[in-house]
Amino acid sequence: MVKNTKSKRNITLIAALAAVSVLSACGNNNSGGNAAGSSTDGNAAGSAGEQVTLRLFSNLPDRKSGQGLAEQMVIDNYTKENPNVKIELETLAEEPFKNKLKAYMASNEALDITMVHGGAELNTLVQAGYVKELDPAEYEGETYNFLPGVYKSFTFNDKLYGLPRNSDYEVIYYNKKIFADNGVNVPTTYAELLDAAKQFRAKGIEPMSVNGKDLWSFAAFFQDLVIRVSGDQSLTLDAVDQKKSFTTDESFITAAKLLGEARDAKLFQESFMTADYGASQNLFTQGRAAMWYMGSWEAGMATNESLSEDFRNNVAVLKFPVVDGGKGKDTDLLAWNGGGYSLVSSSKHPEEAKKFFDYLMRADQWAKTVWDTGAAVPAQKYELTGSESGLQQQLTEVLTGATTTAGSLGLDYGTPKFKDDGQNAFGKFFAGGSTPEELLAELQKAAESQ
Amino acid sequence: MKKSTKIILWVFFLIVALVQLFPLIWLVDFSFLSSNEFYSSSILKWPSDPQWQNYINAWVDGKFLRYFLNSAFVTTVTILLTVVLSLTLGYAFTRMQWRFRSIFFTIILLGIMIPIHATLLPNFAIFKALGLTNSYLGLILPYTAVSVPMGTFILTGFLKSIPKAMEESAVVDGAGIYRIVFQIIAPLTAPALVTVVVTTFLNCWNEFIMASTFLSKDALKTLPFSVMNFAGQYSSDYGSQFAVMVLTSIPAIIIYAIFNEQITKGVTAGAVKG
Repeated sequence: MVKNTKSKRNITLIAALAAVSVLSACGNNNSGGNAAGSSTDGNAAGSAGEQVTLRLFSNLPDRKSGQGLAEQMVIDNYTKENPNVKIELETLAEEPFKNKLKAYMASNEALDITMVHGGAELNTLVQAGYVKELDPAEYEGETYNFLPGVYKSFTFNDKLYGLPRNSDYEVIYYNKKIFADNGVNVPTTYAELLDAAKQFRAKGIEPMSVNGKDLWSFAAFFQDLVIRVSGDQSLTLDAVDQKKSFTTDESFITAAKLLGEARDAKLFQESFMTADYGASQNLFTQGRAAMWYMGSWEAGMATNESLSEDFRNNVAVLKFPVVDGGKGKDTDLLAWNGGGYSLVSSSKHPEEAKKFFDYLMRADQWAKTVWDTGAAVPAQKYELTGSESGLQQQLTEVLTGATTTAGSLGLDYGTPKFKDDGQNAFGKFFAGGSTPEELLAELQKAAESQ
Repeated sequence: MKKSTKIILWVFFLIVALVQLFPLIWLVDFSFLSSNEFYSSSILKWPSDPQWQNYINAWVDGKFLRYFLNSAFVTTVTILLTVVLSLTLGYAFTRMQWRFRSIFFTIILLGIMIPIHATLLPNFAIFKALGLTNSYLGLILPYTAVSVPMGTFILTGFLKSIPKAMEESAVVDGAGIYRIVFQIIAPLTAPALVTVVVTTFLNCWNEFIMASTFLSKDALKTLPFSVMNFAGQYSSDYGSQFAVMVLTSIPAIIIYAIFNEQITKGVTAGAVKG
């Protein structure tokens, strides 16, 4: 008996090992074939002198939708026109992307082009000498058509180190039907917004969806309030730079109190602190929340076939409401340019890399593609094709109607440590119920210790 | 009286089983939803229109097969290396008399305590210098290094419980050292070896941080990258991601189901004697 079970066990073990070794053999063959293939490629490049493989590092792993699709389309366009160029793409999602870019920077990896986040993160790359300086004069004129002021978070010591790919700005998306059905007026002032929140609450509808778990939306919301109160776009950025103080400036105190009112009026959905991006989006797109505080990159919602037609017909854009007695106008837009591309200094094919980089940034390539696919609002002027969705037209109006823009999100303006500490301060404010004064004190501490 | 206790016990165990199985049911359930059906108020949502497309996406866009073969290869080699090294090390530490035995034993066991995140950047620099990034070896080496300390720990515990008479008789019969280790000792430690195999498997199968740092060639990527292929900058294709996770977890479940009994034996044997 005992012997029997033992031998059975041995047989299973052996079978498992055999199965696994067969698989491993396959794996081996695969790798062998690939390695051989790529090495012959390399040889061809060396001998013919024209076959070039460029390495592009990007934070858009999904190549079938959104910005990943747009990026892929531009790459395909380029390789079609330049058959001698092969573009080797490496993609990772946001967080692993950032980690690996640091590893690449530390080891001076020979990438050709990399996606970069403007502000503090790009600054780290610049200080390490990992990215190349660009000549802004080359990117003037019709071919590129960059909007004024978009270089702000890509410029350090008056030198340009990358080009932005999107104009990001915060708006409030709202569902026209939910407002109409419940007889709630679309708010234009902050008091009306809080009043609308109370009316929706009374009817059991979530007033505004927000991705509380990600925390950065709160910081944007607060910066929006500061702009509306003070009428000064750079106030938050100056405070991060420690030219102003979070704790003593009147505008911050007023804005923090207004933020507290939003919390007390239960403006955000039930258990908003546990909602990540997808959860907050679904709540809104399923018609269970009346508003969604989010950025311009969601222009594609109106044409997304997987969302209900009812929703697509009713989604609309609202500017952040003005504050009674505040100096800001509703055309002061919290807009910035977060993501972009840079040329890497250790590139092995600097000339070819530059050619592709310039092609990518042309107004008729990246800018046109993202706009046509509804993936984002570009940082460049684009011609309306006439086939835009109503949502895209409204977003364009918000951007072109803006009288001032911030240029950077306060959180991204400081160091990564500031971003972390600042976000946690907002987390404490909303989840832990700290007072507006405590919030400001923590922000000040974060700014000082960055 | 006795019957009623039995029934209560049965009900209790059924509930426990259900709680244990729930995550799997949930995983399979959600893999059939379209992305905008997620986050509804109900915990389980039986799809009115099952999205088989998610599985097609997982297979094609997630490049499942290629990543699966890579994962299988890396994991297998890691397991083989781990088993051989842990067994021989364990034998050397428990049965052989040599001068720096306890010092080396301590050094090996220290490996259990080193957090892998701390080793990422230095390892990346070293591997790059040695040309090990973008190779299977670049994953197999660190995975083995991480698994061997725990494996040695389990095996030393188990080896102490085996009577020395076994080896004495083997020596009398004229067996050499390799024969003793691989033909006498290895079968006797089978439960502990299975534990080492399964824990190593689970660790390597799901590992992402090292893989994402050391690999950039698509042809070498392992399964966790498959999930990544459906992540956008802001929102993701959750349905397809769940389909990938279902496919990824199937081998793990099968292996765990087969060796379930031995694992318990191996762990307890190691724990009590260790």
